[in-house]
Amino acid sequence: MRPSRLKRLTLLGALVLGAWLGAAAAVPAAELVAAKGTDVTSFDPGINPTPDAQQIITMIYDTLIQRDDNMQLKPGLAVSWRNVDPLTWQIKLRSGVKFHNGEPFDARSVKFTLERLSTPGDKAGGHVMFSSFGGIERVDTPDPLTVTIRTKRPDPVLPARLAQTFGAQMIPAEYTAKVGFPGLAKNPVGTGPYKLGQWLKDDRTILEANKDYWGGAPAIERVVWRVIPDDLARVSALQAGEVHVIVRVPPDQVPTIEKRGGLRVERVLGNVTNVFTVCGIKKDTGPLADKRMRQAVAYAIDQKSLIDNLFRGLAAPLGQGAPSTDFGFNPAIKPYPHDPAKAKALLSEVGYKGEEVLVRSASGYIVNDVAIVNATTEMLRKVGINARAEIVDIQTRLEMIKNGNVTGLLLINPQGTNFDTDGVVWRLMGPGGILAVHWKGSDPDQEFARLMEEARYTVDQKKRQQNYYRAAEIFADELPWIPVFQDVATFGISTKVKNFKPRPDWLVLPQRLGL
Amino acid sequence: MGWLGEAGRALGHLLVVMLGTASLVFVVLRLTGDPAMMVAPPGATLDDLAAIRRELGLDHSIGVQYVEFLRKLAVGDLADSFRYRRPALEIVSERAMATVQLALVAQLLAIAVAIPLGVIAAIRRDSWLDGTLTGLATLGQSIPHFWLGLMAIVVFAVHLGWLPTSGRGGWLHLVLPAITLSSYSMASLTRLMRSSVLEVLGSDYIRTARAKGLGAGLVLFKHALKNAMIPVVTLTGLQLGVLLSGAVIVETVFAWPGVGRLIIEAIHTRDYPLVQAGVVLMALLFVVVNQGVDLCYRWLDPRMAGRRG
Repeated sequence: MRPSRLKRLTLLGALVLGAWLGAAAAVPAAELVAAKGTDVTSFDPGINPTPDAQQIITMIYDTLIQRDDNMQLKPGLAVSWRNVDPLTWQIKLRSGVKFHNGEPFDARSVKFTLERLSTPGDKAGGHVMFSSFGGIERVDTPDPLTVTIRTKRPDPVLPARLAQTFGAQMIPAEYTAKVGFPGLAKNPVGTGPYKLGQWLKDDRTILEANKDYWGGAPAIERVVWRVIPDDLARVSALQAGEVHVIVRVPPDQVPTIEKRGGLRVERVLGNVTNVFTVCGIKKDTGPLADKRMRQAVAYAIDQKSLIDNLFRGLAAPLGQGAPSTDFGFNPAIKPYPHDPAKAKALLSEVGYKGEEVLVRSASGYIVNDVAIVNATTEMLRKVGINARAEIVDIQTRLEMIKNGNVTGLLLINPQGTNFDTDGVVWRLMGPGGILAVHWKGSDPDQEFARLMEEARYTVDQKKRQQNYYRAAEIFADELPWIPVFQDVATFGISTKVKNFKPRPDWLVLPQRLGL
Repeated sequence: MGWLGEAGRALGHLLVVMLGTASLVFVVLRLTGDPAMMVAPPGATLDDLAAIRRELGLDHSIGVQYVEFLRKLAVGDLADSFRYRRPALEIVSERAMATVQLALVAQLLAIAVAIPLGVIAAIRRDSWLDGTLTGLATLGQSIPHFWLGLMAIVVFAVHLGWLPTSGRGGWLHLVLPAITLSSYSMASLTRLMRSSVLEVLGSDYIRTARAKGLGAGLVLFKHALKNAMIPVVTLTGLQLGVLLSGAVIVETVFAWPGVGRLIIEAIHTRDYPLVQAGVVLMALLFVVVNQGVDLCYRWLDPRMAGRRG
């Protein structure tokens, strides 16, 4: 044994260990670490359909129009927008904006992006946004900072479409033409507050601040978005101080987080609804074809009990098709109260003879879906409805949605993409919608359909609102869906993070935060 | 049989397994549901869904799709992932390293702990030490991974703050997932090692070795261990195959970006090509590991060289 050698080895080991630990600790002063459940699948804004993915896309790219924390439209890459006539929108662009690679952002970028999105996906890099932008007929660029968009029919929702985080982000024309959509998907170039640093798929995405951002250089220089799929593990990472922000706090973990010093839970009503859609009532068959039966179901469901017991109060009762975050939500309509006596009275009025009512859901598709279905079934049985819970696989669920011959209740969670009644209720129930086969109100000769169609193609927002208010009354009386509740968006957050505002669209905007 | 013939036979075996697996997965997946719905944004219309189906090549009959699949498979093309829009094999390969790393570390840890413990338990048979070790092993086999993993996170990462809660980074990130993942293998290997050593120690040639006056240590290490190892190698190989084919639960709990999690997510989102690529790669690893185990047998017991099991 030679002591000198051993000493040298120990010293070397200590050095290596020190260097390694040191390297791990070398992070910029302003680094925010956040965690969500799933990862982005591509950096092409046109092909990412999940909210978790949009979180990353939104940091790299900008939309023409943005939404403030209360979901009101505000200027983004566009400084103003107006109707020249019902078919034509004129949009003025922000000047001096550059993409991350130096390519100027101008009317050409807008034309390129919108022409792509209004071309069917299979012919334009496989995007999935045609449903939102297929109504665009032509995009013209009278000068570099002006764009006119002509739509096939009047489109009052166009500004909201241009603000949607699902795919409306502006992409660079020159760069994309050079590298192709797959190239953009791999090495994204946007105008956003952050640039992609490194992507370790399903582990973390590292984003570096864009010092030349048109909205001002972000105070937080680096953002690390980690992917932690397990709810409890995500909460643990927050508790251990490894991450500053987590998106989606499981309701039962809220007290745990709030009890711990240095952490808090932020919440706001979100734009996702949970409803039982009533299948197969167009043909006047099955026990639920009579609207009084559907009202009896609504009176029998104790929304508050579901919300308190299954979601620890983190949800809000709902009484209509659109959530309170959306344009056209009618504040005068109150949710059906829990009133078993009223439900029973309606049942005897209808002369209900105990026909079976199936209450269905897939398992694990919606938070607490099986529990919601079981609890609801019990509530229905209590008032005398012969309800039976049935858990179906996702394929059966899909078949039921599309097939007008199936009857019963099916738990779904409609979510709009553009904070407008059109984007949630009518997109599902209107022409071509996946729920159009179930209820008469979807048929063109019905008042409901007339109101919704008119609102879809009228640029006068006052007129639209009146239509939606009236349609919401019909909806609440007819109950083609039995509304159950509206989700609450939850964020677990370290008190070190400054200026955080929870948003109904679930987005975290690190460019506005401080540490 | 010559060396070359044997290699050819192994290769043929491999190809049959892979083709069978790929075909089975292909058919079963197509019975499970419509991927278009998973790719579309909320609120897509029926027309949009039809367009997406067309784009993904799902508008053809299963027969046509299968022929196309085989045609591509023949040139090593496992198609593009529906969600990632990139070659599925590329995505799976990127993730394979994480899974291999975790599986190997967990299995090495299991072996390193289980073999000495199994031997000790066997030598001190029926003592309190043996009882404790056997008890722990039973416990290790029965505790579910998700519970053990979450408890480990709460204790060692949240309360004590010694280790990171999850994710893949330096070696410290490996500690909790590797220990959690190894718990089952470790426990079953310990028990097998114990019984195997006991069996060998009771055999004639060991009695002979003792009778000719060899010390207990020499008997154990020179004569008994090598033979006692044969069943342990078999089990290790099987376990490693299972670990490599994706430690889904451990990968999910510890946010470990491995193949198991990838495949499960791909199944949930009906990403057919990704599931196919994942399963084919896993089948390949499984077969390779089994061939490796065969090779180990020959070293442990030269009599097996001529035979094939």
